[in-house]
Amino acid sequence: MSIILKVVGVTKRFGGITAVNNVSFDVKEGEIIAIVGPNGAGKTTLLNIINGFVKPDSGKIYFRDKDITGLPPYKISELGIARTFQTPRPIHKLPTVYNIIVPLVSPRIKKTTGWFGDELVRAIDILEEVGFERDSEYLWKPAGQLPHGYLRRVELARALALRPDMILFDELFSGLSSPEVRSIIPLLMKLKERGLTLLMVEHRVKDVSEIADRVVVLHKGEKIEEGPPDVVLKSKKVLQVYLGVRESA
Amino acid sequence: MSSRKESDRRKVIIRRERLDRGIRARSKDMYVLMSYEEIGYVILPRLLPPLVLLLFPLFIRDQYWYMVFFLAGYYAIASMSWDLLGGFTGLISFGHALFIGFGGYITAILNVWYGVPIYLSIPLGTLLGAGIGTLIYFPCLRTKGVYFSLVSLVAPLVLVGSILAFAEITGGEEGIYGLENPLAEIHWYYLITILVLLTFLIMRKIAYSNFGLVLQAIRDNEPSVKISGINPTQYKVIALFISGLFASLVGSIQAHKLSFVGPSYFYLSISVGIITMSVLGGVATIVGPALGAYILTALTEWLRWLGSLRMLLYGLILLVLLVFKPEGLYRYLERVYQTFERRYVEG
Amino acid sequence: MLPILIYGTTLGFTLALIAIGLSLVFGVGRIINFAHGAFFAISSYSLYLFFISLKLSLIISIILALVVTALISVLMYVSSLTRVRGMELNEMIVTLAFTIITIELLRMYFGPSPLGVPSFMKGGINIGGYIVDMQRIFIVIISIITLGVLGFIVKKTRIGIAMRAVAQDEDAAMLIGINREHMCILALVISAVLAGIAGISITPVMTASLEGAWYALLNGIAIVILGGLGSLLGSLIAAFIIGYAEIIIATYVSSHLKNIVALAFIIIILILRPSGILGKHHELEERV
Ligand SMILES: Nc1ncnc2c1ncn2[C@@H]1O[C@H](COP(=O)(O)OP(=O)(O)O)[C@@H](O)[C@H]1O
Ligand SMILES: [Mg+2]
Repeated sequence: MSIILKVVGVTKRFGGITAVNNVSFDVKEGEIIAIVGPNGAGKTTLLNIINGFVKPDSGKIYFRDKDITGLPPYKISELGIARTFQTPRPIHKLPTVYNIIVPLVSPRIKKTTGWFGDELVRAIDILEEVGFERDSEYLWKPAGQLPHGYLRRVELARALALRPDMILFDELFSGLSSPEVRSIIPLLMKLKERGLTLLMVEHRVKDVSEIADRVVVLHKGEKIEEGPPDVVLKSKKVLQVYLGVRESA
Repeated sequence: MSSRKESDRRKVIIRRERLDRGIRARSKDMYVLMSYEEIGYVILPRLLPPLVLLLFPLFIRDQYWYMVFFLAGYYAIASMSWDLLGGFTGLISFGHALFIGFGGYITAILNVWYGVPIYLSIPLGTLLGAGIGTLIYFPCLRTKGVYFSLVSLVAPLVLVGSILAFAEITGGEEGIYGLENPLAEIHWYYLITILVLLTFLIMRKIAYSNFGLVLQAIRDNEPSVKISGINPTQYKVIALFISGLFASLVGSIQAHKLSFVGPSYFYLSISVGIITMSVLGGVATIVGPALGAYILTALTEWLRWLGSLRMLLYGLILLVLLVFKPEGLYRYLERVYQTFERRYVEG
Repeated sequence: MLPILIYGTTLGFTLALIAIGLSLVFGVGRIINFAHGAFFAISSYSLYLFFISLKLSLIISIILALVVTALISVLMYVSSLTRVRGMELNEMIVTLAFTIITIELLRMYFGPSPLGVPSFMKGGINIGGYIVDMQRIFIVIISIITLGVLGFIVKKTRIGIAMRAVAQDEDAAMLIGINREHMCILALVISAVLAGIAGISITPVMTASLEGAWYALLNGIAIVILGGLGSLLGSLIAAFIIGYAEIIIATYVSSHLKNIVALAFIIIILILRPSGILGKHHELEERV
């Protein structure tokens, strides 16, 4: 499998804090890769750097061998990297359907499908795919009034609407009940079958051990471990971080 | 937004019935007017204001009222143009008079210094005015919204000073006199009134289009727009230019009507008047700001003895409205009207 | 050359006092305070009221003028600003409305023409063959003292540290029990007092005028953008850049173009470096 995303020696400091410190890893096309780490490990910052919200102090990001470091976020999205936010960020005052129309009128969709039009129906199709009922009142309610679980789905729908090649999920599962999580997992597997590459940021390894092909563990901005979930779960370094076991020297 | 939402919902329902049953949509789901009451209910509020505006000169033959309603129309266009930026895009302009001033001055310079005839000086002045204004604001559109607000307050205040510095072109304190004015008061009235109606239709079309949706998305949540593969700056620039066109147009027209432009075109009182009217009528409704313009202009005229205290009135209205009733008049009327509908038409 | 240095320095200090207050309120409260120019004008007119109209002693007049300015800033906050807190756009409109109301009330009471106040100290000092009047010397000295005290408050006192904490990370500050609203009011009062000191000390040179409010506001805004929103040191540096630039343009080109300097600097800095001279770039980055 070819490498779709390459993160090379990325570092970002905020004042005195080094949020991300010299992190490198590769993402293969079509895999599900998880980035895990405790709060403040720098996971969100890493996503922000990949999708262009934050410019790294040093290091490079390559997407399909193209250097995308420092490109503006809308360009990176246009190239085919979608993302979701850790705290859902809907367009509060607009009805849910119209939230999804925004990506549907972007240049990427014009380029890939050649035409606009009928975005209303397409928006509803996508919302149905992520678990909304077609007739649901929620579709026409201002998105700001939806319950939390639905907001996560709106985030997911917005990412899908872009027809991306790769999606970055920032703690997709956090705040969801386990039935809700279980209802989303088949959708993720379906996306994987379609050939999408998924990068999932999560809190703990076991959240993603079922679905991830590979796990990268971040701690205090640094990559401390990388490998398949079962290997990482048994890693000493990772156990130390999560269980607070200290090793002398 | 409500009206696009309703029509979109209907579209979706109709389409599904076609798919589900393979028959043409039943009339129940279409917008069929059942009775004269309903016709009156739906059409009257939409038809009455334009009819009143277009027909009142038949009954009142007083130059004074034509003048007042010209001014109201001037503010209505400017306020609707402000609403596209302030209400829909979240770019609050504290200096919309900048466009009015540019439109007016460029038109005057073209007409008086270069002898460009009125039917060219107005369109050219409008285009160039909007273009130059957009160019000045362009650098602050790339950053957060507050920068635009800050700069929009500063720019007209500062430019008034520089008008005086280039007195050979701008006429300095006295301004430029002697623009061609071939129309009578009533013609100006009809010109501006028709433009008000056109502006309303165009602005509403824009606001309810997908372009307008993206503008509202930018207002609510810019990061989400960026990750949707859309460049917000591009949309903001286009919105600013369109908004600038209409503000600049009223400046150009005003210049010809008064045969005069001067530093007063840039005055803060005009910009503040526009904001006050928009807030009074209800931001992000398009029709609200126009309503506000007619009401506030009439009120100001009625309270003419206040003289320069007009600004105090604007200030107090703004403060009280924002603190106690920020929804604005239009949304309030809409609510009252819908309650009425439920009680009498459906019940 | 020497006059430019002298006038530029006095103007720079006055502008610094004005802009630092504006920047402080933005940093701590995220409020764009369009009423800042009104505070400046209120202090000038209060000085005129107490010192000239009511013939109180100079020291008493200055103190009363500062107290009035500070009280009005608190009044604005509790009467109207609290109700639109967090809605950035409404905050700006409310503070602008407040400025307009203030200016119109001042116009009603004091009339439209500028009012003169005599210098606090007579005479002048000969600097390199150029007589500098004592009022300008006074402005420089009082500004340095004020900035010193402000620096001490912000850097060394508990209150100042709490304020900076709110400016840096609101949520974290709330977690350790700092009351954000109190810090906000405090920053507003400090900014009003700074604008007041600037307004009072420059009134004998500039007169008390209604235009002063807009002059202070638009220069304050320009400086804050040039220095970087929320950066106090940046504001200090930018104040002198704009102060000197205005004096140079007014002397060599045209006094009408003096104000356009402010706009030109804003546009240039927004093109070249949107975060301002000392603003941190990540202030402009999305925090999600
Ligand atoms: N824009 C920012 N400005 C300053 N500090 C930031 C910014 N974004 C993140 N940080 C800091 O960087 C560190 C890593 O944060 P983050 O990437 O959100 O961690 P995670 O997502 O793993 O919980 C934290 O200490 C956070 O406070
Ligand atoms: Mg995070």
